[in-house]
Amino acid sequence: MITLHAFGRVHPFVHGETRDLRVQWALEEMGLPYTVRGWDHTGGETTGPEFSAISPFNQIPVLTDGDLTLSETGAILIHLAETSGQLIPADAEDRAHVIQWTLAALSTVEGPIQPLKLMDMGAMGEPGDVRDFLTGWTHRVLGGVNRKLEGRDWIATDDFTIADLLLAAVLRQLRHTELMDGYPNVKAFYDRAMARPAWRRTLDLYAERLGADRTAID
Amino acid sequence: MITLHAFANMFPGGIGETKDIRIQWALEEMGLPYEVKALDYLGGEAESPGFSAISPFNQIPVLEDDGLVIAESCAILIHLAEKSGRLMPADEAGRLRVIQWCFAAVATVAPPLSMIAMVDAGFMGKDPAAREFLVGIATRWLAGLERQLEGRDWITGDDFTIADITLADILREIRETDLMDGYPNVRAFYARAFARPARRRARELTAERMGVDIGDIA
Repeated sequence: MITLHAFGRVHPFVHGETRDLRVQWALEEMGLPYTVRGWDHTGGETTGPEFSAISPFNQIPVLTDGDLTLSETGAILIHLAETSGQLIPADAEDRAHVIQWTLAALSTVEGPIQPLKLMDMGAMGEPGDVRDFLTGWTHRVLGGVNRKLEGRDWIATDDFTIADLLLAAVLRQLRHTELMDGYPNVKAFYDRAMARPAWRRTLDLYAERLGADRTAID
Repeated sequence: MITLHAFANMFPGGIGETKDIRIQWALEEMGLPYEVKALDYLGGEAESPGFSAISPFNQIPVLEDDGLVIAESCAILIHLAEKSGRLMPADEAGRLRVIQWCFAAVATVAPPLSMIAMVDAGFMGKDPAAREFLVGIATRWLAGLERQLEGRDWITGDDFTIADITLADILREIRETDLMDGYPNVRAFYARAFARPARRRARELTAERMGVDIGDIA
């Protein structure tokens, strides 16, 4: 049985921004049976010994599947895709490209986008030189993604894969900025991904689990 | 045949800091035959149409392997490990553990470390609040690594894997700071990784390719 270890309670300030969303979206896309174990972050449960035993950096999400305990969103999605045979192609070359874009999303593209998000949430000092630097860097990666998406719906193959899911989730951190505006292929890709029924369902389930404002987290 | 697209040159402060060394280290560890195509970075070759066609973000390294073209250093390492059967266990649980730690290295540990290196290099202004915030995150990840490395030589256990190459090369970002000082297991891991003969060979080959003294590459 698959268990998703997710937030059961977390400061409302980060509602809608946590990475358990990414794994739950994948589970909903794949239609796999799973249960959610909600951890009380606000009450300190994620720094306790029980959670430390399954998460090396005390980070959520973690996935347990039989005897397997796995952390890191990218690794969890590769495991789920490979065991379900969904959202990853069987062809070796296509599969290598999905893995490439899974890493591109979480490493190259998220590189500037996550700190920009943290800064705009007020966690990383005042806007100034750092923000200018991160904005310039974000434009560079958005340019690369925009070019790659020319004439195609999805980033790695003709079909939606875990690489698309992660890339869209990474881009989502820019939704309150205007940074995607100059990149029509990126914008269209993002809208296409966010319109997927499994993502809408994931947001519903998330809002219900955390008692979050459904409209505010969209 | 495997072709590694690597740097032929680099501006002085960037010599030895590039990710092609990571791939060459892995190729030397695995003993795979390969050739290097060295790009004239200072002459703009990484921005050329030919290279743009194989590297979505115009980033080096790229690997070609009998028609398959892969970017993202960690995706390249996963491909090489799966192809060679080296530096990654054959059993499913062991393989997933390595993939988890590859993502942990590039998606969790690397972001604050590489940003600290960029702040210290003067690329991002001199906002002390930003650096302080990044150091706070970095020490949280270093504490997690310290715990994981307790009683073991390598991050997933007794055997050296592609996750160790990636993690060690990322820790290298903070070698000129005192951030590793409070973490003896991390410090010992880092020294152990860089003492490997294959890393030394990769360093020699890189110095030779760039036409610099080996002492210019740490």
